[in-house]
Amino acid sequence: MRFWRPLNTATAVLVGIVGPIVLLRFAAPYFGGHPSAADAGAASDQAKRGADLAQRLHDTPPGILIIGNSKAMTDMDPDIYSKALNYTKPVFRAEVPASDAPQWYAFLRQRVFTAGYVPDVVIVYGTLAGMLRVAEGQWWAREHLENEHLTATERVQRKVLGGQVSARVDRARARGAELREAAINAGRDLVVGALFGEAGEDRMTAGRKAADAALDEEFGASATYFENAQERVGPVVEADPGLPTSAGADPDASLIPDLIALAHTHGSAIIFVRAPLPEGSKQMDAVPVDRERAALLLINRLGAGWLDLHDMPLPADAFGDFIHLAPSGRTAVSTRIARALADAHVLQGGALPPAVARVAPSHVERVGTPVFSLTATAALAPGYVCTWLLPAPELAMLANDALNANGIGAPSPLVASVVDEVPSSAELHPRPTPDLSACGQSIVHTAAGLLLAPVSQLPDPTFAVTLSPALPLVNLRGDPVWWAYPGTALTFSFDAPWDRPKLHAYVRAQVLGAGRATLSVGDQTVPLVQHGRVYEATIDALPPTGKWAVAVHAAADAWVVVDELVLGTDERVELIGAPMQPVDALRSSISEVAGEPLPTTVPFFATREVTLARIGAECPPIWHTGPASAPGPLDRYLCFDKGAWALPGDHLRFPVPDEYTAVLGLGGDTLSVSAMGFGADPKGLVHASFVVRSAEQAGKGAVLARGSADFPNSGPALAVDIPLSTPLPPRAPLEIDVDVPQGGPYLFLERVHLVESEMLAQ
Amino acid sequence: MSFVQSEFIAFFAVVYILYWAVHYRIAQNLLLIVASALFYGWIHPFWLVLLYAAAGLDYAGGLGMAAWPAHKGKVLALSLAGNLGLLGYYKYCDFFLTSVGTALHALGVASDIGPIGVLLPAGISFYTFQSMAYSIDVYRGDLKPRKNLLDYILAVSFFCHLVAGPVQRAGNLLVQAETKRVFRLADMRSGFGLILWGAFKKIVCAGTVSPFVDKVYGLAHPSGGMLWAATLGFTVQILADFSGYTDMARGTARMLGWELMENFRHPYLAENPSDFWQRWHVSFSSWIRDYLYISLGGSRGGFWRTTAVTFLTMTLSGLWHGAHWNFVLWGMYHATLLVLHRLVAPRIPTSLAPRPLAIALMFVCTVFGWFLFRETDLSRMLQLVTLSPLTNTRTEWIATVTMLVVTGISALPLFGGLLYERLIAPRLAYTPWRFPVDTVGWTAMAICLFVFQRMDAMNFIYFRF
Repeated sequence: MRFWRPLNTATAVLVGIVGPIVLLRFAAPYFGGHPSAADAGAASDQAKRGADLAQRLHDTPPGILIIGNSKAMTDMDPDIYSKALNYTKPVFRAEVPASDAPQWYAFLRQRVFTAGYVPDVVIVYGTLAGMLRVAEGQWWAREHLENEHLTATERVQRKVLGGQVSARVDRARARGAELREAAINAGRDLVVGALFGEAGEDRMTAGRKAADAALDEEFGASATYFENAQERVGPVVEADPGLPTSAGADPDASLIPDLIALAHTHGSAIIFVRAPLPEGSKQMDAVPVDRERAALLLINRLGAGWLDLHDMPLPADAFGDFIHLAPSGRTAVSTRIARALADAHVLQGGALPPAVARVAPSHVERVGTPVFSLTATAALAPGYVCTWLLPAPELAMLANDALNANGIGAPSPLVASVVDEVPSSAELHPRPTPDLSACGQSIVHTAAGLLLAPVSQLPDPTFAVTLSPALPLVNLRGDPVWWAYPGTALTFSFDAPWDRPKLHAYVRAQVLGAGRATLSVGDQTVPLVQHGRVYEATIDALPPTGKWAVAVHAAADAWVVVDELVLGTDERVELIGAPMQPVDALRSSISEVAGEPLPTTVPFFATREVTLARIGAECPPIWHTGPASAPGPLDRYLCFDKGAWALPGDHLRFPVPDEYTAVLGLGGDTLSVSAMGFGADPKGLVHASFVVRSAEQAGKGAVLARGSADFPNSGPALAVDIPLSTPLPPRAPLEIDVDVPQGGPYLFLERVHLVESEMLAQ
Repeated sequence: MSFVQSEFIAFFAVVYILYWAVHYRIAQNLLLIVASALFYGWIHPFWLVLLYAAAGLDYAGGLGMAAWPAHKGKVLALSLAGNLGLLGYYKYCDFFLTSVGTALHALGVASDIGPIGVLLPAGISFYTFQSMAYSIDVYRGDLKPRKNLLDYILAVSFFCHLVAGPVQRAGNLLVQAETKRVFRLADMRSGFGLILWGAFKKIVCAGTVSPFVDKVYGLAHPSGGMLWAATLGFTVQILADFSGYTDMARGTARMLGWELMENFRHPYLAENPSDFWQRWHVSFSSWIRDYLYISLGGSRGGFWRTTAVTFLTMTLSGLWHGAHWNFVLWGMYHATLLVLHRLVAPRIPTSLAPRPLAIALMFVCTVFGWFLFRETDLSRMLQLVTLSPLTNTRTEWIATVTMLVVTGISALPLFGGLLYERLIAPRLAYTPWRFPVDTVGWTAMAICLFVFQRMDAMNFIYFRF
């Protein structure tokens, strides 16, 4: 090769030294830069916000300082504090978006106390999980902490950043992951586009669309190449395998003691307020009861205040979205906190009452001997090679299909083993369907009886059928099922006392069979009463002394599944389950729209002024007009958080996947709709019809239920509960079609919820 | 400890500096013994007991054979029994108990036999084989028994090759342990480059394709196309992973003045099964050939005897790789290929089997073998092996093509390495260009290692053995 010419040695050495330097020179800024615009936004946003907050502090030195994430801004009304407390100093909301305790500590230490500000009261407002969280997973959050001189405190440095890779290293790795992902995607898009793209299409775009769709279909939720490749943060999770769970660190290892020490050292009172969350988001603050108790005891011991608003009863419209409060909620929560401060005279040196810890049951068991017998002989099932049928007509309500239909979920609580087999092969495993041609080592409870298949061919096997001792029994969907078998009591025992003046217990259950069930707290017992498809009972009792128990008893001919068992009202202790939640159809993407061509001008009744007055936010229907552009598609998502528009003649389809409907244990039997019409006649009405169909065949699924309602053209939105013609199956993918007749007014849908009618009474 | 952990960088840096700071061979050997103990006992110090027990057994066996030549057969038997007993217990105990229990049950005999949960010490498959090789060589007279215990211990426990090979011959390592090592800049440079290249193959090549391979093999019902594309990906992954480790082992050893056996010679360029085993895991396959195949008669006993020996040898080779029946199946598969090749090859004119075709055919056979290697569940294997890529839907084809693109991208550096080795390196060898190409290449690889490291993919495949 001609270019392999002899080279002066000195030149070669120079190139050998300079080359790597040049490479590093270009690599360092590339990998040291922010991986993507989103992360750059978050990272620079943090720094900018820190500077903004510092400026605001300088302008309005805080008297009361409320610190937290974005909820500290949206959920708090400073004026309410000022008025309730008769307080003239500024009430300062220090919002650090997407932050937790480490950021709050850094901010308080560096921007507040070290800068010379000493608030009278510091209110730490957030989730308990956020208060307990120590490690920062996001590299840009850790980088911000490092920039905020968190390292100045060795103890906190060790807690928050100790053992973790430097944020700069993580940032470089995030950039590297992006680069690798980009290279793979570019190659993939090019090849897939070339092979599968349509003629005339941009190959890369076509390839990307086809490949993303194919990977989604084949791999579902794990369609990314790497666990975090398509998320904003790079391989931070991989670099920090020891990140704590959402439950956070142990309270003693958290930053709670450091926050309290920081405030008290400078003479400020400090109060921790656990923020409310809407029902569908409560799992974001799921802290184990024992850890919560430890945190409260720690807060009490260190002399700080605690106010738990996690279960503060708030209507759904108190929340503006899945985290933040709407104006009405802000008023309610701010008032509650301000009143608590006022009643305790905190500003005058008083203290809030000690935090009351929740109690966790010491022991959960199924007490009593189940009334159960199965006296039948198994025979080889017709059509099966290695499966025996044990008839059990009296237990048909426990068959898999029956349990699936009523939302409990297969499998049946009946378990079986083969007496003739070795122990490791004796136990039969529940399956959804039996295997016709093989020995499946399975038990399947069908309407005809129990289909029992040993692990191998046996001439005349002997089966032993009993009830599962599992508590709870986990069904095939992975959900816990709390059975109280006939003649037994599902019992929660407590060694610790109930600290509150009254004990309120509520149970909601399904009862199969002819018998009934009762709820007992201590010595007090009440029967469960049927309401629609469920059975409920409540007890209000004085707190028992000594050890006590809550139990759900099943009669000798009743099979009871407890869906919900809750103690307390404002501070609820959920022993079993979470309450059913509404399915919000408007959170789905509209999959189909059909209607008349759009008008070319905005009608007077749908102008910005009119819609602003009625909807309360800027939500007029928008479309393109003018000679430069033809009328375009209506942007129906303009007010996605507020609602959706349906124009005359529109047919909107909201697909609701089964993950959404899973929150309804029984499937839903009512559409709760809030909507308002916009038409020329202020006294007119908009008729809307609703059809709920199965989504098994897109657009062609069986119609499951229908309903309709009329909504006025003036005034606030009308909320109606439309009973569906038939109750819906639980956990089924659905499509909700909304039709608006042609030639009539417009319809603005504020809320389309699929609910259980029992929920409406709560 | 593993070569790609950050602790190893600090560990090796200290060992390297101290090693060349002390000039005396004995001091260096002592340092390496201590360092090796630290390296191997990092997680489980108890494993050192097993290592030294195996080493001690064969050391004593060598001396015993020298002292009682009339009984050297019995001494050898004792050594083999000890090593195989150690290996058998820690590696195969649960496997055999599970298999016996299943077999008894299939015969209708009730029994409680089942696994007892024995923890497998890392590298036991490698150092027991190395130790046995010493005893066998002494028995055969190929090696004089060693009296210096420290040198012997070092040869067995040398951390560079201890955990995942190459399987060294005692003669090779003992001689080096007994010889003064001289610092050479060339050794340092080439060793460092080998380490970087090995780490690059592991972290960048294997690390890129392995998540996708795992995802496809983790699907309950993969399509035929995706499965075989993933198997192709695994073909790249296992080569990059294992040869990467070997390169790192050889590189660290070379920097310390030691030379370990080459383990991979571009195995996917093999033209036939026999050629493949002279290119893949050469240290192990040559051990099997020299100590098992030849000892059982090799190819001296006619077709049927040779076939039987081949099957036995390769089956045991498969079993060595793991205590699962799929590895046995993999070994038997390669035995079948060897036997078929022996039968068919002499009858096919060379003109009908040009080299590229032969390489392609052998590659396809190798890929199928890796499917047997990868899928440890036999029933699932039977279900998957019938999947045909021809029945793919459009979506499945797109996903398959995506997998192939990922595989191709992961394999690109391996092709680049081959091109460099064959075309560029020979031309650079004695030119000044060598230095800048090395330094720029090392810098680029180091940058890639830094940014592409994924902590959850740090375990080497052959660590399981």
